[in-house]
Amino acid sequence: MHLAGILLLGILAGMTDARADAAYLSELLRHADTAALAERREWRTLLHYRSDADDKGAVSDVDDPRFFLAPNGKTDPQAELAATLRAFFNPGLVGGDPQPAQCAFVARYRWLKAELNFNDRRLPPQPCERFQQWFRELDAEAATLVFASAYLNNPASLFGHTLLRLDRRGQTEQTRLLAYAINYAADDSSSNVLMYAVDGIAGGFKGKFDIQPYYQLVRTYSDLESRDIWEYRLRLSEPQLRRLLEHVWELRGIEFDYYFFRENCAWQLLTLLEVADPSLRLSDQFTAWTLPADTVRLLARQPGLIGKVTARPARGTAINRRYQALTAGERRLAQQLSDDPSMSATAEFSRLAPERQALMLELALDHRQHRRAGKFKEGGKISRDEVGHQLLTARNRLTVAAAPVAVEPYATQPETGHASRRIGMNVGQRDGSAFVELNARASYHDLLEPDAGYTPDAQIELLSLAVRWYEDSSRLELDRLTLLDITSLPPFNALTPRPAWRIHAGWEPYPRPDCPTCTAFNLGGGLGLAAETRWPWRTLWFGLPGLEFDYGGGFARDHRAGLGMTVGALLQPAPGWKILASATWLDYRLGETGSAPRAVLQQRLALGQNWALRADWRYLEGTQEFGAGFLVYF
Amino acid sequence: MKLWLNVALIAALGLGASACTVVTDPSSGSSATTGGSSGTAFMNRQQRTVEFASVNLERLRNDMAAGQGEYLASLATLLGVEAGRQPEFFTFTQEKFAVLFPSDQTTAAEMLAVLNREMGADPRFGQRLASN
Repeated sequence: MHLAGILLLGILAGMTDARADAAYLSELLRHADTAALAERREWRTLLHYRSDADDKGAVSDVDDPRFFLAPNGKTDPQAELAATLRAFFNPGLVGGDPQPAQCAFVARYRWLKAELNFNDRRLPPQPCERFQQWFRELDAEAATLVFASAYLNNPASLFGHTLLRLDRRGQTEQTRLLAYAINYAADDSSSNVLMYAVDGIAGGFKGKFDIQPYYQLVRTYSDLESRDIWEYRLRLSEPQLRRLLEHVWELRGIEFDYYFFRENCAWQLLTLLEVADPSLRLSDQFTAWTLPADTVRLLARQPGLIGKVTARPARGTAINRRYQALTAGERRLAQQLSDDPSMSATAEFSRLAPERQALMLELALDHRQHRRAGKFKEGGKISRDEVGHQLLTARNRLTVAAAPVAVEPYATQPETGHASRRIGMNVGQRDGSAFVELNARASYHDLLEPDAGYTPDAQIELLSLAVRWYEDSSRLELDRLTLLDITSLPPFNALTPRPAWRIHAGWEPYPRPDCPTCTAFNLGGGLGLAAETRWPWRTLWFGLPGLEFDYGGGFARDHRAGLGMTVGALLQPAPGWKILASATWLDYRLGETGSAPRAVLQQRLALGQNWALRADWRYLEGTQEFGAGFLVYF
Repeated sequence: MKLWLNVALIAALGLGASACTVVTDPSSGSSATTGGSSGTAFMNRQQRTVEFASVNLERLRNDMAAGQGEYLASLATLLGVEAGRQPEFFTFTQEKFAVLFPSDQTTAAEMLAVLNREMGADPRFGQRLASN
């Protein structure tokens, strides 16, 4: 009797609870509808919605179904909001890292709670202990945008990388390494070489947000890849930072389709910042592609967003700068030291002041370790380095600090540079025939442009097009279509020798007497050296022997292939003024054989951050042309 | 021929326009994730100290030999050495260098065990890590 009574009461209570829940849910849904919360920017940014193609509806960038509580949540903000409110009453596990909805989607919960003024008695809050512990452990006080500069030896790193570091309470410049960092990256381990490009473009990879200690990332970028890092402190308020972190929690385990061009690391970080501060309009500014440096430029333009900027020069940079600060005799000693610690016992070494000795020992050690980078641990065991140990012991005997040397990064802050897209107009003459040229370049930076904001002595050109209208022709002619041109000319350095190299793919002009505006497809590459002189002004000399392959109807047998040798100099007489002079000898052995000389003399004068004047002279296998014009960057 | 040109085009666009995939260092020696998207809990302070020392052993060695540096400061913070005491801690590690790193094969675990012992014997610091 009593048992039945209790059971009955229990069922009645359950039913009453369910009815009360349903009643309160209806109330909340009505309230949300009246307030049009699904239309609000806060909701849009939290769900990563953007307007779809015909601007009528919304589609979320998130592709993982676990991120949505409504079956059509990806395309229906209203339905998703209703399903979210419903789920808050349900302790069932949801999300990428299964938990009750209030915890799995804690940012949504907090926002909706504030907007709808949740009654905690009618909708009891979940304790969400895992989230609380994670939040406490992060102990974040501020967020810093970290930009790792371009690394030309890895195609995926040509344009740099951005990530978000979470600075801890009480953190100093000396303890930045201990912070955690949010990184969005693709898992490309399952792709093979052939499919890499296709997968990356077409969203075949999966991208995820991940949290790692900052020191892991520094090790990869700064130490192993020698990339200078720039750190931009972001001025986010405490509630803004809190919402950002709550949203990162919501994204745990959630997968995105990773697109190299647009929805990449740089773009995803912008979406996080939009969650923190919905008044920011960032990700919409990028339609076809997103380059990390461009996102830094955009953020620098947001009033009051960026605070202190700090440089973290790469290990390789620190080594080179310190080496340059030594006298000639010291440089010789430092090089010898790094393989022969007994040099520290010589009279020549002992004559140096202790601070200089310490500097040289540290430099020798760093250089040695940098050369052996990646070999420190092989198969889990620490590799032998008795020489290194002796250098350490010698350094340890000196109790003074090393003589200080200013270490400036080589890669300058990206926001100080020109924008990456370019258009221009030229007028000129080719063998007496006048022309007007229009040109456009998708990205990125060439040797004649001021180095500010870019990796110096390097060129990356993508999709660069030039069309001409000649006075004695009635149509527009293609003069040049560069698909890809990467040139790297690092000045030779005895301490860390690196070769100069170049690859090029695209259509180039090949004027002939019977076809003055002909073009052909060129594939070429070279490997050589570059050297720097400083007097009377900075000049970069280079020599690039290599291979060339041309394909086009104008050649006998439709093609020619052979060897090429380019020598040249890049001069910088004044800030903003650069001159490039080069001569190329080509010796074709296959297809249409023969030799062909080419020469260029190009000048560029940057008049502002985003525009410049140019004047060029070219000699192309018997044809001469010159032209002048202007360039605008945007 | 056209096929190869198309391949070249796709490759050029893909390679050239790609941005920011991360290269994770396979030789980092780090075994545990730190509460990333799959893990739940971060490591405790002891584990973090061991992990930090293990990943950054080479840099720590350099800093301890010189008695200063960012890695050494970070280790001091992980060990809970108060900010005011850290300069003394730096000098302490420099003085004890030969004992902390007796050979080029000294592992992070070995170094930390000796450091813990030495700190325990010094009234300024006291033991910081649980002995295993």
